[in-house]
Amino acid sequence: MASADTKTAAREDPDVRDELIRAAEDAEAEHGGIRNLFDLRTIIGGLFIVYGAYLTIRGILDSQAAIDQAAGVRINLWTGLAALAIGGAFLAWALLRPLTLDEIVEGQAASLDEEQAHDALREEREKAARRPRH
Amino acid sequence: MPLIAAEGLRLDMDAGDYGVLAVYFIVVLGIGFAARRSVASSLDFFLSGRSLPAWVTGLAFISANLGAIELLGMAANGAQYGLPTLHYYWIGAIPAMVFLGLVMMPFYYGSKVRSVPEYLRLRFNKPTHLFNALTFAFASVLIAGVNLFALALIMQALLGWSLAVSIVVAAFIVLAYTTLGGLTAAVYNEVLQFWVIVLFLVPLTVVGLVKVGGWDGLTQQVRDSDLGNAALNAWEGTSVGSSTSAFGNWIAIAFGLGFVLSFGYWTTNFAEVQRALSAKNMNAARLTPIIGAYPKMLIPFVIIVPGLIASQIIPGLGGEGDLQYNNAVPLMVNDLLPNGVLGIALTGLLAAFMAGMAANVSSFNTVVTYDIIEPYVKRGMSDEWYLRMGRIVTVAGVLVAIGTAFIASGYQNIMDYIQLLFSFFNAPLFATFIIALFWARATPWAGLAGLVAGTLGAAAAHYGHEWEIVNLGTAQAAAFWGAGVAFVADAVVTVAVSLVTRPKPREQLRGLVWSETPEELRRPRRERGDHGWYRSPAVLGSGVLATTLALNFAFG
Repeated sequence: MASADTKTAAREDPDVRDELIRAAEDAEAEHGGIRNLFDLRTIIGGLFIVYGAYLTIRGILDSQAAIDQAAGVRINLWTGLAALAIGGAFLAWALLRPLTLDEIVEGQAASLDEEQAHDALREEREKAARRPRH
Repeated sequence: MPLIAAEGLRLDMDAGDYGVLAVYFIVVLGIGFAARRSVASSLDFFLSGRSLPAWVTGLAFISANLGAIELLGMAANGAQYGLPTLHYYWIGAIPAMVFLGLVMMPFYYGSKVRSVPEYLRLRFNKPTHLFNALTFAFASVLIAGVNLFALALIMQALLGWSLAVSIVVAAFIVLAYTTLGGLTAAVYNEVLQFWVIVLFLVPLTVVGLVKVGGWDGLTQQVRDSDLGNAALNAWEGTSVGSSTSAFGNWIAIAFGLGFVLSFGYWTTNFAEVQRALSAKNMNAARLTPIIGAYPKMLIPFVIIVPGLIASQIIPGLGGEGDLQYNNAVPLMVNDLLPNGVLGIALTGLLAAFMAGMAANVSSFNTVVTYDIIEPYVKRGMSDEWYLRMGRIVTVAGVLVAIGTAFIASGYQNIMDYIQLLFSFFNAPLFATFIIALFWARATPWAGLAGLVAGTLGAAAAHYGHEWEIVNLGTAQAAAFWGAGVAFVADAVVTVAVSLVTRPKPREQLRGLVWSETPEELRRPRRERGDHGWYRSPAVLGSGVLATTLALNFAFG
C-alpha cells in the first residue's frame, strides 16, 4: 500500500490523530523562532534596579510624615535597598551564566533517549489506529 | 466582588507613583514586542516552542494562579477566619502540585499533547474531547471577563478611573502582548509580576507587623478579639461530629478541599498545566509545579497575615461598603504605605489582575485553535494558518471578555456563578483523569459519560443546597461537598459505562496509561544538563511536602 494511503487512513480514524501534533512539531522544527528568545533575567534585573534606585533615593529624602505613616519604618528606603539587591542578583546571574543558543538546544536534547522512546510509543499508537476496525 | 464605594479607598498617588506604574506598562509591552521575534510557528506561539527553563515555568505556574481575585479573596479570608485559611495553600495546593510533577507529568509531557483536552482525545474519543474543550473555552473567556471587571472596580475605587476606561486600557495591554508574543510573553510577564507582587506584599506585611507590635503583639491582640484562639490554629475545631471550624471537619477538609477540589484544579486546569508543557524538557516539566510549590507554601505569610493584621488595625472591618473583607489589602495599603512603595503596591495589584486575565486568554486561544478549530472546523491547513488563527482567536477572546466584563458590571453576582460553573466542570475532571491514567479498561464512551455525570452531580449538589432540599452547612462546606459529589458521580459512571462498552485496543494506549507505559518512561531518568540533587523532582518534591507538614505542626 502506498504510504499516502496509510496516512489518509490514519487521519480518518476518528479517535487517534497524533499526526496533528506531529505536523505542529515539524513546523516548529523547520521555522522555530525560539532561537531568538531573549533573557528574562536581564529584564527583571533591569526593572528592579530602576525601581530600587528610585525608592532608595525617595527613602533618603522621605519626610517624617511618610515615616510616621509606615509605623516609623523607613519603608521606602528598605524596599529600595531590597529591590536593588534582587535586581543586582538577577543581573549577576545573567552575566555569569549567559543564555546561549547551545544551552537552549542542549537543554532540549538532554533527554534524547527518552524522546526516541516516546516517539516509538507514538508510532505504536498510530500503527494500531491504522489497522482496519472490525 | 461587590462594588467598592469610591471615596474612602481613594489612594493619594503622586507623580512618582504613576511613574512606577507607567514604567511597568512599558516593560510589559516591551516583553510582548521582544517575544514576537521568537514566534515563527504555532508551537512557538501556544507553547513557547517547548523551550523554557524550569525556574521560569515554575514561577509562571504559581503566578497564573496568583491573580488579584485570589490575592484579595485570600487576604479577606485571613481577616475573617485567620490562620485556618492556610488550608487553601498547604492542604489545598502543595500535595496536588507535587503529584502533578511526580506522577502525571510524564504522561502529559511524554505524550507530547499540546493541551489537557488533547490528552482526552488520544485516550478516549472525539466527543469527550470536544465536550471538555468547549466547556474549558467557555469558562475561561468568562473568567477573563470577570477579572477585567474586578480590575475596573478596584481602579475606580483606588484611582477614580471610570469602569469603561479601566476595562479598555487593561484589555488592550493584555491583548497587545499576548497577541504579539504568545505564551512566551504571557509567561515572562507572569514571572515579572510575581517579583513585583512580592516587592509589594513583603513591605506591607513588615509595616503591618511593626504596627501591631510584631508577631507576639498580633497573636495577643487576635486572642483578645472576637476572632479568638480559633483564628490562630489552622486545625482547631475540625474534629468529626463536633466541628466548629468554618471549613467543616477534617474529613471535609482533607477529601473535599485537599483531594477533589485541589487535585481537580492543579492537575487538570489547562491554564496551569500549559506552563509545564512549555518547559524545555521532561525534567523541567516535572520540576515546574514542584518549583512553584515552594513560593505557594510561603506566600500565605504575606497574604493571610496582612489580612489578619487588617482585622486588628482597621476598625469596623467586615462591615458594609468600603469596610467589607475584600478590601482588607487595599485598606491596609491606603493606611500604611507612603508614596513611593504605594506606587509599587498599585502596580503589583494591577499586574496581578492582568496576569490572571492573560493566563486565561493564553490557554483559551490554545484550546480553541488546537482543540476546536484544527480537528473539527478547518482540518489540514498549514501551520502558518493556525498561527494566524491563534492570533485572531486571541483578539476575539479578549473582545468577548470585554463584553462579559460589561455584562458582569450589571450583575454583581455573576462572578460567583461563573466560578461555580467552572467548578462544575473542573471537579469531575480529576476523577476522569485518574481513572484514565491507571485503568486501561476505561472505554472511550465512559470518558464522556463520566464527565457529563460529574458535572450534573456538582449541579445537583449545588442546587439541592441552594433550594434547601438538603442542608450542607456553610457555603464553604457546601462547595467542598459539591466537589465530592461530582467526583464520586464521575468515577461511578465512568466505571459502570466501561464495563458495558468496548475498550480501546491496548496498543493505542501506549504512553497514555500507566500499565501500558514502560517503567523507564513512567519514572524518567535525568540526563546531562539535569544533574545535581537540586534538579531532582523527587528530592525537591519530598522537600516541599516535608516542610509543609512541619509548618502544619507549627501553626496547627
